Amino acid sequence: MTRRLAVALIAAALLLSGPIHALQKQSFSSGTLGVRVDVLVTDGRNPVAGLTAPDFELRDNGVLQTIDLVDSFDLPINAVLALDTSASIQGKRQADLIAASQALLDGLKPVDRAALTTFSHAVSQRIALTSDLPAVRRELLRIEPSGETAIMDGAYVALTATLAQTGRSLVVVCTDGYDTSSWLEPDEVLESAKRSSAVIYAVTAAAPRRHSPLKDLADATGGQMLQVTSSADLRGAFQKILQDFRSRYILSYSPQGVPSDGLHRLDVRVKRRGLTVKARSTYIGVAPATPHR
Amino acid sequence: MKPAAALAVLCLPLTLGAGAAARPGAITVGTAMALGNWVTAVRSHTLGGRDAAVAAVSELTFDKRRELNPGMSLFLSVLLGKSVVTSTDAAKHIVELARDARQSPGAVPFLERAAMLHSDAAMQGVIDDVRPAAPANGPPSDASAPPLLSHRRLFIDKDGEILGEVNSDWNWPFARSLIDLVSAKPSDDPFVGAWYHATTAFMLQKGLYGEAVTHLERAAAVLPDEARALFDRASYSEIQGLPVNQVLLSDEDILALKTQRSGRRPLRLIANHAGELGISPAEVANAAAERLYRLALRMDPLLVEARVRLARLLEVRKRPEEAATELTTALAAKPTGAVLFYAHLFAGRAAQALGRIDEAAAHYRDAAVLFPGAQSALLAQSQAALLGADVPAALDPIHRMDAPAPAAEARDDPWWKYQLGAGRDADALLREMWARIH
Repeated sequence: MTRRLAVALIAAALLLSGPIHALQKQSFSSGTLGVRVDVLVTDGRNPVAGLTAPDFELRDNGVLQTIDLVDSFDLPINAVLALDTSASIQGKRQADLIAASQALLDGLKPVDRAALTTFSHAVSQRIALTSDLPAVRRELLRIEPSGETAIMDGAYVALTATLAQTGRSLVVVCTDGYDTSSWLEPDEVLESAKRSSAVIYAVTAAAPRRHSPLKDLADATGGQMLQVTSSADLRGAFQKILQDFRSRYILSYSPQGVPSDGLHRLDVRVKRRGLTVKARSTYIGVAPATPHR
Repeated sequence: MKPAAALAVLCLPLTLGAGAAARPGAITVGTAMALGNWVTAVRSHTLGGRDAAVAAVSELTFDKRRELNPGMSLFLSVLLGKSVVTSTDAAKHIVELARDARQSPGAVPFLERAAMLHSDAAMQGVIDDVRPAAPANGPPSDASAPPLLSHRRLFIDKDGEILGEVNSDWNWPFARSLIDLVSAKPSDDPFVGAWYHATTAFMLQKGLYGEAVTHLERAAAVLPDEARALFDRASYSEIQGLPVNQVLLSDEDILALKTQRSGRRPLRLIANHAGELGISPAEVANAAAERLYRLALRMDPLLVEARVRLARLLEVRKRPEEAATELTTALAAKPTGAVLFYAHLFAGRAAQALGRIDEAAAHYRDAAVLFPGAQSALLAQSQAALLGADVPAALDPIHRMDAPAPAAEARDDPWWKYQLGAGRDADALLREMWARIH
């Protein structure tokens, strides 16, 4: 099998597999790669329910696409926690961070999976995606804060946990500071995020004195950055993230009128006025593979 | 004996304060006793050690140093062969002490040992986290203050947060003033260069940027063309441009600093103490670092780490082709250890920027071979593979990073020490300097 074929198959698996129940017609056909886009629609701060495919307009590189709405209810969630465990987290912040993470785990269903990545200057993929949520809970209690802060490195490793996985992937990056020691540059992690289907939510308790690259990551993947003023607010923030993620719509389509591969700009809108849409702004397409003979 | 003393005397009023030297009447019995204790400390100090001499110096309060100061001026004048007229017994005692030191071990060896004692005391204070006492009242000293009486306030920060202020250590300016007297032409004196290089390395290792900035200003004045001093100054500027320092500036700070530099009137006061921190925006710091690395390489083209660091800056400044060229030259010089690791890591990033993904991957692999557990090299490998849409190859280095968290912190990753500059080798440089005096 060629590498390119392998990649195409992985991408296809990423996008198509899992118990996807089409609300309307199933649009994927053999030999064509489908694209799935996670979309959050809000009215003010509240998610909007009850929309149907005709309520949406999706343009891929400016070309209007025919979309389906996929029922996300039974789709398993891959929730990857990427937690800042640098020295500044010690004490109450640590307790609040663990409580918030536990609250998010509480909201997962039996079909869902979770993973735990922590980062100081060192990144540690503590628990790979697993349905053994008690193992994740136990590992949370083993966190010993120390060291500096490598947010981009941590976010990248968390993203890789979602590669080649079935289901919907949610990455929650939580930090109380600014990046001081990453090797990876923000634009490199951004490029990587465009190659994954994960939606990144960032939660930061840092004093908002600088633009955070985490906001760019969240925006690019259709997620959101939440700013909390106290670590006591982390629990509520984590719960809201999961609630929002469950309220998202999944649009699927087979790209028409655009090349399969390369960078695709996405523009998702709802036809009803006054609603806000959050969806990834780009994705990297992979051309359908030609079987190696 | 080095031909230092005669010309160095001419420097004395500048470095020690003419007023204090001209008023021997201010010398008291207490001054003479303090001076005697100081001479004993210099003579008895074991270089690099934590001993009674270091303890004695560390216990000098601001008031004790104020008492010592006129005696010090007199002592150093006589040590360097200057004729003085004394009238009191206390002053005469100090003159005797100075003449003894001039005879044995000699003016220059005594000055070198004294400078080492005070730099050792400053370093020990950092290691023990004991800061010198400042005067109870009054503003920070200005540039005209005698080195014994200099005191400033410095910010301390950790992991991107300002934690507070501490007193600067008077031992550093005093040691520098002693070094100034060691040689009439410091650039020709290997000890002066070695002392500045080793002590700067210590400051960078410990993140003493507030101390380092004045240290390097003096190094620039006495060693303007010395390759290592240029390298240290370049490293300092480069470190200021790294995220670990840049995150201390707010977006408002950066805007205000840029506005100031462009000659326009700042729209608002600089927030977050950016002015006091002395941190320039990254573009400004990086431009200064590039210029200084180039000067260092002009003085010593074989200074491979300067070339490697220059290449990183060129890459940061969106000139990957130039970076790649410098790194080819650097790799041809066959560096070893961390410098070779950096060269491969940066060559990989430059190749990646030029779209040469396979070449980038090869450099990252070479870096990972040198330091198998290095997180930076593994992340770089993974990211390059992901750019090439090779998911299995992107995941493999991440799986090699798998380790329990404490072990992860113990990974040997030279990237984590990059921000130390010459401070990476501080311990070795200090040992080398101490051996030079023995």
